[in-house]
Amino acid sequence: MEKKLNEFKPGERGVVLRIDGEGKIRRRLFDMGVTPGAEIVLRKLAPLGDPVEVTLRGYELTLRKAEASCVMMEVKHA
Amino acid sequence: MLQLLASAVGTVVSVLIGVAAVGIVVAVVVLHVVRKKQGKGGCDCGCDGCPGCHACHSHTDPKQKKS
Amino acid sequence: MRKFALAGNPNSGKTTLFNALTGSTAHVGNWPGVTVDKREGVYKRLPEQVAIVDLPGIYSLSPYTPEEVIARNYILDEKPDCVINIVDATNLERNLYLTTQLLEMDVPVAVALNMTDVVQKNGDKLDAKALEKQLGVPVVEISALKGTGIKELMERAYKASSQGRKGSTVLASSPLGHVIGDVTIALAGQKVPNPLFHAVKLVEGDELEVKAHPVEMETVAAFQKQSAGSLAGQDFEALAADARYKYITANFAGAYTRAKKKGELTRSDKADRILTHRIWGIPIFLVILFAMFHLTFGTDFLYLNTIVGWFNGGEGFAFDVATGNDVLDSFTAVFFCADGISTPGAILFNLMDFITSWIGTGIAAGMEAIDAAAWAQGLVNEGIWGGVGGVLSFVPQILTLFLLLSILEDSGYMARVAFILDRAFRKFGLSGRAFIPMIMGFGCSVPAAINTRTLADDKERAMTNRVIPFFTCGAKAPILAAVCGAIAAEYTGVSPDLLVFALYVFGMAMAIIMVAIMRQTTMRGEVAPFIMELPAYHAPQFRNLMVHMWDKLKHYIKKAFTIILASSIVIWFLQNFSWQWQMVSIEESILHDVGSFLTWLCTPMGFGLQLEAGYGWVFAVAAVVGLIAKENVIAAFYIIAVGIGFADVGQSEDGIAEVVYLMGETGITWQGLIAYTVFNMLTVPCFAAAATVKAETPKGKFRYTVAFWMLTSYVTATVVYLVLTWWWTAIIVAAVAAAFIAYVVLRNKGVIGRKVGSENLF
Repeated sequence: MEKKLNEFKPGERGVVLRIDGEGKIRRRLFDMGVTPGAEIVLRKLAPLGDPVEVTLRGYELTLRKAEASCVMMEVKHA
Repeated sequence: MLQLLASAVGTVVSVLIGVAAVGIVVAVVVLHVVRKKQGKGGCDCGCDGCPGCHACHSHTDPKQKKS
Repeated sequence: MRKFALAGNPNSGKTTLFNALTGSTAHVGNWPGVTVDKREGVYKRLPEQVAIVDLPGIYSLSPYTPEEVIARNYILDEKPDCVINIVDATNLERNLYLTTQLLEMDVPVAVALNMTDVVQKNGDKLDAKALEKQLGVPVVEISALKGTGIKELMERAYKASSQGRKGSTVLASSPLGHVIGDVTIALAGQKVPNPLFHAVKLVEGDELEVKAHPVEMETVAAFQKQSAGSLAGQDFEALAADARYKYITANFAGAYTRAKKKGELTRSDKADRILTHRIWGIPIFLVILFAMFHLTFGTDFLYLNTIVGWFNGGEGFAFDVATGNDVLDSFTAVFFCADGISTPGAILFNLMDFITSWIGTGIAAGMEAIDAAAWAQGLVNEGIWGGVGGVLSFVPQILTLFLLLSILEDSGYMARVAFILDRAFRKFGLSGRAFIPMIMGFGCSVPAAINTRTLADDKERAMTNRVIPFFTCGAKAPILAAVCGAIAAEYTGVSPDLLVFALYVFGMAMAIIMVAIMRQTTMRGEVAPFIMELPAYHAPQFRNLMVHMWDKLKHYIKKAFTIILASSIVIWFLQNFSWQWQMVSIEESILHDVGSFLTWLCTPMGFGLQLEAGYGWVFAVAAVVGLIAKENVIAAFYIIAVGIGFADVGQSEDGIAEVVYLMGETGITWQGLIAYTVFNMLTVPCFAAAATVKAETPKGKFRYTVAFWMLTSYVTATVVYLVLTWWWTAIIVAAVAAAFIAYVVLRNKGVIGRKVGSENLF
């Protein structure tokens, strides 16, 4: 099932299908390891709901929902 | 006699203090102008100077990660 | 002398390694043309000395941030003899992303697998040998923190530097491999050094490369058009990143074997659950912040006395100890007085004050004994020891604040707070990332301003730099402490640390408000992206904290005995002498004349013409000398107070006593005092801080920042004074503010495409 990363609930995991969007944000996401095939788990949401914290490639990354909406994921069921 | 000596000391000390005071002011001013010319200065931070000097250390030593 | 460069991700322990290698030989300079720190030093434990250059922490060699460009250009242009790539072993995949790019250059590389102590602790396994085989360069396990493996690393790096190396790329087997190969050959034919690296970057569509090699770019473009199927119309940049990570996952990830099962929580995770809790995260942060100030400035530890008082009909358990023995009484008062049990900060302040008063009395007695000239006695007792001693008595308290701040920073909590606050910050036009330099401002504005370099967005950086002085620094803290202490002493029921805290918060609020205003007026634009690594928590090392403290102490003492000493001498001189070099009473002194010039200007703020006997100049002068060092304000208070007739009886509340005295003599109201404090908080910071902000500001723009500081402080102090003194003026102020906001919003509605934040994206 395809889903944007920003729509994930805490605890959901999935694999990156593609990165939409362009420019700075896209490159930054690549550099931080958000590339097709990467497995990402949504750890939690910030107290105000945004930004989100994810685990990928063994470390914690935080990004806003807006930036996460650029990441199209394939949801993995536990 | 002792009285004379005492007041002499007093005067000498006073003069010394005055001279020192002027000297200090001049020295400090000169010191800072020189340092400014050399491009240094600011915090006098030896980059361990301010615990907040984390610009220089950019998130110092994440040692025991996941301890 | 050979040159080795250190390259690696932020948070990989690069700086720890750098410090371990260079020790005291390290010095900080500047990369030309950019405001990023350049750290260089010397490693002395090899047969010959080796120069070490610490490149900025980077995630990749793309040209999108100044740090990346610096690192890349350094390696390409300066041709270091070896690049030591520090890789965080607990974070292998992402760290190796940079490694694959470094390997594309024709330079010897040695990989330092750092954090092996953590790996061992977790029970995980590292296969460095396998990694070395795969990468084709020396791979050495080290722990920069524990100091293990460093010698071997340097020896192998040295050996590698003698051998030279040709670049290799992991993209060779990717769909892009062919065109990369072709372009490499083309470039090599033109005798371009590091042809492989340039070729790869060209294919990736790197802007710098495209500009530099337009001809080769055409080859790439042609290839792009020709390729059918999966490569057609694709973004090569994305492809390359994708290919790199695929290669890394397939070939290198196996080097690291986890002992823990996935999903198990580490201690850091458990701490994180509470500290960034959905509901409790923000309240906890506020409590921690408040605790910081309470422990430093409070006089009623944990408010125990006040709480007992609630249950006891207003009577707490605290009282002034009066044994009849003066010394014993004073000593006990350090820890316990009518206010309650003293907090650590208060204890230290009292102790220090005790000592400085004692020394001061001693000096005064000594001077009298030798019958020194009256003016000399005045100079030493009031001028020198008054100024310097007064400032020194605050040192322990400021150190406490620094210690607490250090703990917050070293623990990794700051990044979490940025995470928590990002959404709130966004409403005002900043990203949560800006929070970190701001909190650093509570210590000292200088490193805080330097830290803004890590903010990617120019406008965000400029705005943050402007408001950093609003976060009351350690030098301004004595002003707040003395004023709030004085007000608490004069008016019952006022808790000094609560008042101090309120002022700190006010400073923060002003910062946020001014940023919001700037965002709507001169600094319009979108909020910077917020994609940030969250490093794990770790307990700050006690030794590190002590080293920080010691350095700060040295710095403070040095400052006290140079700048502040000199300033105190000058102030004393100016207040005791007339233009004709005659010793006179204070009303006829140079200081008085100069100060009076400014008095009328200060009237709207509550410390001008309305003060008795025309003493408005006192405050104006104190503020002006504060430009040299904010501690001078307190020094000036003391010296001038004595000049007016303050008799220091050696009590243990001196910082506060002279403010009380000034309140009495000048007739300044508490509202005026608060306004004065606000003015000092918001106005032009000390020269050191101003110079640093100037260095971080584009040419020609600094004057606007100065104007900003002066205008903001003047207007805000005036408003504060007016509203506090005549409550009804609050209505007028609110009306004006509303009108201003309406005007700005309406004006901006006419601007097309204005978005604040990226909420519109979904």
